[in-house]
Amino acid sequence: MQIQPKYFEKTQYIETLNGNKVSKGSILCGIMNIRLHGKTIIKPGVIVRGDLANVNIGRLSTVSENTVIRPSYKKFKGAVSYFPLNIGDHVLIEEGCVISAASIGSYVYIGKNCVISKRCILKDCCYIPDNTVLPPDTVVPSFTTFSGTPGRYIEDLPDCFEQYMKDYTTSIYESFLPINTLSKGRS
Amino acid sequence: MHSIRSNNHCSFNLYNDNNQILKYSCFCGKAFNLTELYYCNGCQQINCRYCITEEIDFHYCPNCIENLNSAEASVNGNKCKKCFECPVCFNTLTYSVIGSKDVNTVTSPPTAGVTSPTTTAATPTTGETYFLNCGFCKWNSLDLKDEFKFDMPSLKAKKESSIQQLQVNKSIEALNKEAAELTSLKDKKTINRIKLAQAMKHFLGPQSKHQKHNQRKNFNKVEDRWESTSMAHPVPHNHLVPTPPPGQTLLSEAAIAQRVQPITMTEADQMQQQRIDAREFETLDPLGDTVKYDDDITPFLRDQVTECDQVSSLDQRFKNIAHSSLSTSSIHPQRKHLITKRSKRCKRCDKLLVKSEISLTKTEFKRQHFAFTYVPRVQITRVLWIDNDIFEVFLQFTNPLHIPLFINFPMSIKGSFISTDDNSQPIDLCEHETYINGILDETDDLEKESIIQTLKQNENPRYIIDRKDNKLTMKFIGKVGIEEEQIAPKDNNNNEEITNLTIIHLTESLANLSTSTEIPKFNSQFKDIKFTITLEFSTSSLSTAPSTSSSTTTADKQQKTLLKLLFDIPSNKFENTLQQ
Repeated sequence: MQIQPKYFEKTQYIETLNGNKVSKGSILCGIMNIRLHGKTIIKPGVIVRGDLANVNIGRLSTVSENTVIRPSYKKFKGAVSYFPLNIGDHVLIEEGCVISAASIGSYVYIGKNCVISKRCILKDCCYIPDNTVLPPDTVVPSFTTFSGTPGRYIEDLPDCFEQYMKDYTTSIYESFLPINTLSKGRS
Repeated sequence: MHSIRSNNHCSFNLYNDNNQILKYSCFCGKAFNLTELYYCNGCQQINCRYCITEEIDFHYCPNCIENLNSAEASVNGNKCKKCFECPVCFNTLTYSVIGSKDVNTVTSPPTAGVTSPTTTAATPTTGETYFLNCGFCKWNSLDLKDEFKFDMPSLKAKKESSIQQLQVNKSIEALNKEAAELTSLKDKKTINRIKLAQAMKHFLGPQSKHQKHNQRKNFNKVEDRWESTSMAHPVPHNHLVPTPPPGQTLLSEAAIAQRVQPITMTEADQMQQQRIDAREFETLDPLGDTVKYDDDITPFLRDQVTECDQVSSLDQRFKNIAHSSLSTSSIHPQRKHLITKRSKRCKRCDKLLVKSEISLTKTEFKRQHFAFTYVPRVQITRVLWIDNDIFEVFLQFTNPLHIPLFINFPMSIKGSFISTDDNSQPIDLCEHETYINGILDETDDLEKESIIQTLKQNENPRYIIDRKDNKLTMKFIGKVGIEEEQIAPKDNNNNEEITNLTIIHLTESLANLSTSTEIPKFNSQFKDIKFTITLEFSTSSLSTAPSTSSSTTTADKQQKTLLKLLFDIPSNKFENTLQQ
């Protein structure tokens, strides 16, 4: 089935020149440290803690409702230091997640209600199904599925996952439309 | 041939309901989601996972992303040298320092990405000892003996050996020696014995195929291998495997002494025969006294257990084959299993389909022949009822290539238009060839350009709804129920039989119902509507107008690929199904 278009009210979203769509219902702390690379959708209820460390989110990524993005920290000689959090391109994060990873590669899918604990490293092309809890310091290699509590290696992904995610995230971005264009029929 | 809807193999396709609706049939008749299929350029056909051969390129540890070749991996029993798995929750363990008050955790091996601090806990004093610590369930190796305490972080485990293992190692060694001696002889009977010895060795300690030639070199390594390998359970009943006498475990000293006897020639032959016969599981009489499970909880232990967490689960015991223990307090951490990167070949023509880069940080491929990037991708944009048991489907075809693709819906094919389980069939579809533009809107040769122009002029707006970039939306009409004559007889294995598709042209008023503003609701007979659309595609013009189809040359025929799309649409996806 084709992804059904989702409509949003123009007044509820801020659109930037390079195509970012950020909900006014989201909380972006330390906006100076948050960088969206374009065509990124941030849905209402999302909290991004840019005040702790830099947060970079790549192109055509989507962060769904009520997700918390919070850079991870580590104790060095008693002092706490935060790591910047990098999220790659074509990443889809579903609702209600807590993301404290050190880095998330490109073409990554994170399902609903997942917890990505401190300093996790998600490589390019990986799949985290709904309700997974990844323990701290977990490394998720490319082309693998990690699921369960605690998240464990389950199986390999199909090799064309990169192309699949490109196609999927692009169509999600394209079907996320302002409500005004509703009347101009998309059959 | 009837195509069958097979269950998608990848769990990522199972989680997503949309990926279950449409399946593409492989040449062998099994249909999967497009992401799980490959496309062989050599034979111009789709390959499913049963139509490919896989070979392991290299092994790597999922935690420290270090790759090893097969020989290295085999020496370590296909396990990582550095990384340990928690025996309770199977999480990866981290190395921590004993003594320091705020437990300084050191990320086990230096992983890519975050550079783990090399100078932890002020200055590394000489007497520092590390232990394993689970960040998830808070298990640690402090209660265990010294074997899981290390002087340095990321050090490999010390050798551990129980009496049982030593016994088995001895018998493997004996077999190894014998095999080495026998290879010099060229007797037919000795060959049988070599085979047997190798089978035993294979059972007791899996080795890579390369080791046949340098067995002598590997004698001393047998010990390592045994303690680090594990086997799948349950093992089928096998006469070569000694069955434990009642009350004893398989690897107890007495049992081994009883079992290990010199083998004579006749016995060897007999055993080989028995091996062939013994391809079935032993049936156990659960009530019989002869069966005694050695993991039955003794009354003594039963009184001690206060929490169910204290008894190890089956999963935990299977991971701990060497000393599977009843209580969680005495199970040991295991080294992490390696996982593999595999290259794939076409089973029909042995052409390389997928070959990944050696570097694990890249996701690029040296060779990639995914069906996803070669076959027109199909999406359902809209599906609705236009009358009782007659429905209309709007399909969007996406061309993943840079050059235009020509598609055609054949009216007669070898085999069947209907797949197994189908309850509906298409009755009205485009009979003429059409095309889908490539991603780049340019054609390299004029001939193609002219064909496209003529096709464009002749195109029937009734079927072709929309054309945009590399996408084409088309309309189909189908009906519930199957015409009998289109079902190829199932018992007839001759796949060469040609079946024809009947086309019923509906009246315009009915066919145009979808454009009207108000759509009446209809009842659905079935919960899922299953039907099959057959399609041919090629990068060069198919030129298969019905009249000329018979005169197409063989060269043309080879270039086009027959594709069967198996739909399975739940009735609630229809726009106007009556809710019951």
